[in-house]
Amino acid sequence: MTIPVLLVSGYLGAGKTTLINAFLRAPKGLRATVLVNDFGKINIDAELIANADGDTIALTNGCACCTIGDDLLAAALRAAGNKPDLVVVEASGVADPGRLANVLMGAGALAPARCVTLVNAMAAGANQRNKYIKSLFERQIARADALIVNRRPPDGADAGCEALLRRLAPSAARIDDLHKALGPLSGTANPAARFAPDLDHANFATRTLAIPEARTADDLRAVLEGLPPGTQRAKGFARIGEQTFALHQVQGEISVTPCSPVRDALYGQLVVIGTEAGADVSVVD
Amino acid sequence: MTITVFTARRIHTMCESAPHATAVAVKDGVILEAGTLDTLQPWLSGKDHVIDRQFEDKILMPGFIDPHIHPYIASIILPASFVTAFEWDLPGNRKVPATRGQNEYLSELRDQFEARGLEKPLFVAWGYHQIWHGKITRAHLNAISADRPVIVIHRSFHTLIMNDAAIDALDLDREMMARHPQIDLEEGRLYETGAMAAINKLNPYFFSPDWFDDGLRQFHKVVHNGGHTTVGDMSWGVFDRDLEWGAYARAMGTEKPPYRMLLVTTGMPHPGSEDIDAVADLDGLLEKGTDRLMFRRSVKLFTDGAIFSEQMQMNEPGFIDGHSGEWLMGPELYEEVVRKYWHAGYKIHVHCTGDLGLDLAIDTLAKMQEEKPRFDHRYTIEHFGISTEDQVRRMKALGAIASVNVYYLHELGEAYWLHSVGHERASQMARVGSLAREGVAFALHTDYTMAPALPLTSAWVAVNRIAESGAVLGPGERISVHQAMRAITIDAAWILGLEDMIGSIRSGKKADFTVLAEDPYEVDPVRLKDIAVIGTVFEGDVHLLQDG
Repeated sequence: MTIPVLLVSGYLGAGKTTLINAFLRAPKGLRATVLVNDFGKINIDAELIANADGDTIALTNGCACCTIGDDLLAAALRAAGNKPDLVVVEASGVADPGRLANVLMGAGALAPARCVTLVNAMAAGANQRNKYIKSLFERQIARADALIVNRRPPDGADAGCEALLRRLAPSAARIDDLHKALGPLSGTANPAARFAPDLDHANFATRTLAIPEARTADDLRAVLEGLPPGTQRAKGFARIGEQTFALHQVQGEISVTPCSPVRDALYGQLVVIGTEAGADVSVVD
Repeated sequence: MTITVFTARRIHTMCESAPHATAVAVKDGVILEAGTLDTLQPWLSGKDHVIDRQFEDKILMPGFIDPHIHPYIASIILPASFVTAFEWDLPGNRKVPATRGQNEYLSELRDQFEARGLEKPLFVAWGYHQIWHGKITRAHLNAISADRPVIVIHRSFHTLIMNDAAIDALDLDREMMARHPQIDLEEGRLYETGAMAAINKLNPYFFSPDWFDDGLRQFHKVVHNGGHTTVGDMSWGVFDRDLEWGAYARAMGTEKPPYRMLLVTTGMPHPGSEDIDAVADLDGLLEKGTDRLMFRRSVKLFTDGAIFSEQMQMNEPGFIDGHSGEWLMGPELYEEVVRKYWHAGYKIHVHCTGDLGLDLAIDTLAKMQEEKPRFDHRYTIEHFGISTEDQVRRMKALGAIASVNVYYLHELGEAYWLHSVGHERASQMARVGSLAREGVAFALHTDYTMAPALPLTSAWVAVNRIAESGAVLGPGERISVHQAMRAITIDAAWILGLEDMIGSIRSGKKADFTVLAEDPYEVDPVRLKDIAVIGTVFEGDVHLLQDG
């Protein structure tokens, strides 16, 4: 059983520290290890601290907070060694979450990271006009499995921000607290937009495969388990009786969840992105 | 006590006022003056002196300076075997020829394994590049050895290829490797973040005294072979200051090699650093320095990523494939850190590989000049990969200077034209011609092992702009031989802020000379890199290059 990982991403001022502080105060029974860039901004009541030594703070609620230092992978391996229920990683404001998620794949005991991106709605316009960070800001959003939007203007004048999120991350789940990022995430349709190809060197191909007839959700899970090694992402829809199911595979982690009906044309097709290695599957043009 | 007078066929002083001499008098490691045996007489008559004629038919120049080199990277790579697409001169008289083609690569790798494979617990070969060597896989390496670890490291250090014995020796989790998006377990190839997973396990080998100290000893020879008398470690204290100080002090102290190092400490924030006074932290290192391992009020910062892995930050139109580079320090953090050091009067060196990274460096400098105007501040752009002429004019206006890795043009210019950023920006990489036209001071550096530690080779690239195929690339950015010679002597000293003691052959400076078999100002410029270095003089003492 691999340990789930949440990667908290987002540009400066998006609210990552506030979110992490809130989680550490109320982990709701989860024994989590939280990796942060520095302790300076972490705000933990003295009475919650069981033990503080150098780069680790142990809390009375069973959580631990550790600094990442120079080597994220080494910090993640140490965290995994203590077998927590959950690992939360605070990404630096200028980090590309896709790249950090890949770094974390070097730790076999950890599940592929789920990316939760925080967006400061008031700063979104300025960030998009900032030539230094525009591209990074957009990538942080596009990679999100879940989005948390903070600092919305009171009069709902964030139509621009909303339009951006819909364009870049149409199927990211919208949540308001970190716990909601655990468990199955469902998003709306448009499977192709969900796949942000890994731009680092790999030769990725997109194929559409036929989903064989299934009688149970387990049959559908078996389809996902049977995908070739080298599959990065897969998404599709299938119907069992009257119920529509969404099939997801994201870097090895599979889920089959009930959802609302989708367009007829989407049923029975699995869109797969992966490397050329591993081919033998039936192909639908 | 005794005065030594060195004679030479020609001495290039690198002083514009009196550029040539045929004799130079030295006392206690310091230059008395350069001139002719006649003009020197007032210093000599009545005093004990010796005329040393061993270089009488040779050329003397100020000791070469490379202001941007990384001893710790060299110490990790040098103990490895080198199988490379370009020629390398290594210590121990190891001249590594250029290996091109897959069969040739595998054959050379096998030969090296058979010769050196049992020396260390892991056999590591550096220098692989798929463009020249084809696709090498785990199966190929298993064929070289079924039971001893064989690890191939890509020239950029961003990709590793391993055989099964290596995967086992490093105790890498094969399930983790199978599902990692940047590891191909079947082919045994680990790249970018996948390589990090393995390097994590390799570090204990690389930093062991057996490997690292061996590497530093070889580094001494590399520095000497290039004719250097001073180098700059342009990012010291990245891992662990105490560990690094200990290793360097041992390396410089026990063997007393004939060169000195300026250590420019990194100012990148690390955990816990928000609590310390950044300026006081570096000021505290000043008293630690010795005459061979020096500190000054200088700091190294970064904007964007590495050029070898295409992580530069680029303005529109960006990269041909649409990917984006990375920030090592984002805009807000960069400005905040620069401000602290700027107001304290520090010399700031900043890594910039792409033109957007350079914009950040220049825009921040402009802000600092408005807050607190400084003259002669020596804010230095390091590497200077991709830039524009307009940016060079802004640098001039704001007083910025440059330390340029011009070798990029030779090894990356054509590859990046075709596969990365297109002809205009790739061919004008490392635009030293524009710097010279605008009168912006610049040095040439190698960032060894990113380029061979040979100042005359850097000069050869800068003067000829010959790319890997032999064609000239970006002729409009060529400089003169004189400009190139300044860039490896007096202007390199200027970039390091050490011009009071080195960089030219002038009264009062250290008696550091490089002895050459031929005159760079007389040979056909395409032969600059072929001029033999006979030896160096370091603080008055002669150190000839040995065979081995």
